[in-house]
Amino acid sequence: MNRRPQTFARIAMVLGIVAFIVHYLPLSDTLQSQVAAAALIVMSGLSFLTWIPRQRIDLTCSMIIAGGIALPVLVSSALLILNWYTPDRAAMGTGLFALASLFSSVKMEKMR
Amino acid sequence: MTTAIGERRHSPESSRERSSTVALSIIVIGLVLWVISLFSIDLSKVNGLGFAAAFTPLTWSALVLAIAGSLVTVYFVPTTSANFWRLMVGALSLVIAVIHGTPMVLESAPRFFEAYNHVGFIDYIAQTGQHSVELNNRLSWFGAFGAGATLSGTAGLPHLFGAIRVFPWLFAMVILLPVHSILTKFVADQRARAAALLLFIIGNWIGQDYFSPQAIAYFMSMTTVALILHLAPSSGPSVRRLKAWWSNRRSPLAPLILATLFTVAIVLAHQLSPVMLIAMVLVVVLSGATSLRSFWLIVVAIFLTWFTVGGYFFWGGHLALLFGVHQESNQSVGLTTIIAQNLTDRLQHGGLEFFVAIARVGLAGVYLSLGAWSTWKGRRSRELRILGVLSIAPFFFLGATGYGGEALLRAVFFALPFLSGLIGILMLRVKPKKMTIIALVVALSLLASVTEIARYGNEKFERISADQLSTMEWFYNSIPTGSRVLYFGNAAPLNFTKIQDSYSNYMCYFHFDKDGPKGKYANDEILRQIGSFAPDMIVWTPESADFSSHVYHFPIGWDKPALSYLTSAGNGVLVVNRPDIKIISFDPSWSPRRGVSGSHA
Repeated sequence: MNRRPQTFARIAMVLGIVAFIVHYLPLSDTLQSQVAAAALIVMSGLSFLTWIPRQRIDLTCSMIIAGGIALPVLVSSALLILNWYTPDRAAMGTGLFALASLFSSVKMEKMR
Repeated sequence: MTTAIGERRHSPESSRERSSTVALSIIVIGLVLWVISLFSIDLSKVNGLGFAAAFTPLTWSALVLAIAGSLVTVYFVPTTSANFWRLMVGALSLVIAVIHGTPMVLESAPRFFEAYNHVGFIDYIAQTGQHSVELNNRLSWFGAFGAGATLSGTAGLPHLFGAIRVFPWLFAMVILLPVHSILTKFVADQRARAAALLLFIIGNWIGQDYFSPQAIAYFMSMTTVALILHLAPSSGPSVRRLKAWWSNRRSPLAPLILATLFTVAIVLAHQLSPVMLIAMVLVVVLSGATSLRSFWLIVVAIFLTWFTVGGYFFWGGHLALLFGVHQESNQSVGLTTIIAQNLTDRLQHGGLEFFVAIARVGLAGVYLSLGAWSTWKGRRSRELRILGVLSIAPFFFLGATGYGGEALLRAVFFALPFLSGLIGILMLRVKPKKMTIIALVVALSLLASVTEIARYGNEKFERISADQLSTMEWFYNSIPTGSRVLYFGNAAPLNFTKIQDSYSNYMCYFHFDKDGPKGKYANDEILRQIGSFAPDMIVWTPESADFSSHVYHFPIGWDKPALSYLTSAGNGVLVVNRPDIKIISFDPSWSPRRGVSGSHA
């Protein structure tokens, strides 16, 4: 079985937990934002990457960055259109979508 | 589908190690020189030629060594060596550091006034959860601003001044990833691809990579093209053999869904980038380079859907905009005029401004000519022909942009990766003799110097000081909600917070017959329009007044008579009075008296 989706899902879960904990630690707002942003970008990027077979490093990194931007764009836009946007909701939604995508790909891989 | 161009036999082991060591030494010395030079650069020397005027001999040496390190790696380090790409990344990082990093490291506050507006949109979305197009019609494309608010605002208000500072530098690095990924499909030789990346950095004078939705959309567009080329590849015939072309179609689900998601994100993020994406996708589809034969229709459909619904406030009532027709001084200006203005207006300035304009047009001309030459020489190669078409496709879509001044710049920016690929192939046709490499180092160093001038010349108004920034932070935190604020121009750190709490206007957007306020009654006209706006506060910075002269054809010194009147007895009260910024407060009952002309001849 291709273990890649599982690995990505684990990394994303750890990142999500780290971001969640950092959110409630008494750190500077700037540091919290940076950690949360980095975690969200990588989680979102992995959720795109997990659906494609292994690629060269240039495309892999491009996919992580572009996916890391695209998912927050999509989730934020959806919430803005629905008039239900707050940064917290959008961050939570992005994280949940990323995890859902990752675990779906793990499930698909197991079904193969 | 790839064609090996310029592959050579490997050098013996000892020579291989020697060339790696030489390249590494050159790069390390270049890095050391650059770091040392940072302590000796005098920012007061920055003039119309930009940072080039302030660069010390050490900075120039660092740039030459960075380019020399790249070329030694390209020509002498074997591609089979693990060091090839390590050295290349090191050398390219140094070129980027010298060209883009120097301003970012030295300036007291991040430059690019437009980026501060973007921070304002992000702050507004984070604080209100709204995207009112009545505030600004750019909020019709709220995707990137929403993502900015999400990524930066989860722990309170956005913290983005740092992002403005590092963004151009970071962007210049990461954009090489999708560009390289695309080039791997068309250029087999790693050396040519490495040379292409160097040429891409050197050729990027366009300045569209600041903290902005278009930069984000550009990255996603390039990744989308790379994605469909690699995950839905095809080596079948082009559309000229229609039946065979159509029968070779495949639609692998995962790449199709991912590319569609990227497209939706691009369409929500920026108005013009999807048009350029359509151009690129159309070329790779029609040329048979991807098996997703109908993907371009999906891109067009998504673009049109959002443009019709979400972008209505942009074009509603200005239908001609869709066909590239603008209104200037109540007259329609068509596409050809816009392009002519892009070129000729920039060549009408005198002195250093003329030199910078020539540098920009010249650089674009050099890249386009060399790209055309490379395509002609490699016309038997299908890959080169596709690269050639990709490098001119963005120019055919200028008419569909309705974007005026910057459209041509953006077309050049979207063509640059492919032009760089073509020129990279041309470079690899040069035999690697010592003298030839030295000549190439000199030529590319000259090109990089011209880029430094083209990129940062004529852009003094982009500079922002930390004092100005902190004054404006204080200003926005102290003005009452609902204040009417008038600015002498928009080249300043403006509207980066609480944009919903005040109403802004800019003197550069005042309506004059032609060429800004000129003639006997010019000052009266300015004051009349100021009175019509009835401001509570007016903000002046030297850069904002200069910008109005530079871009909106106001005469040099146009601001002095107005400023003098506004701060004279019986008018405004100077709340901040410094040479770099003045803030004037007005009583609600104030209006300018008639016949106060300090006419500007």
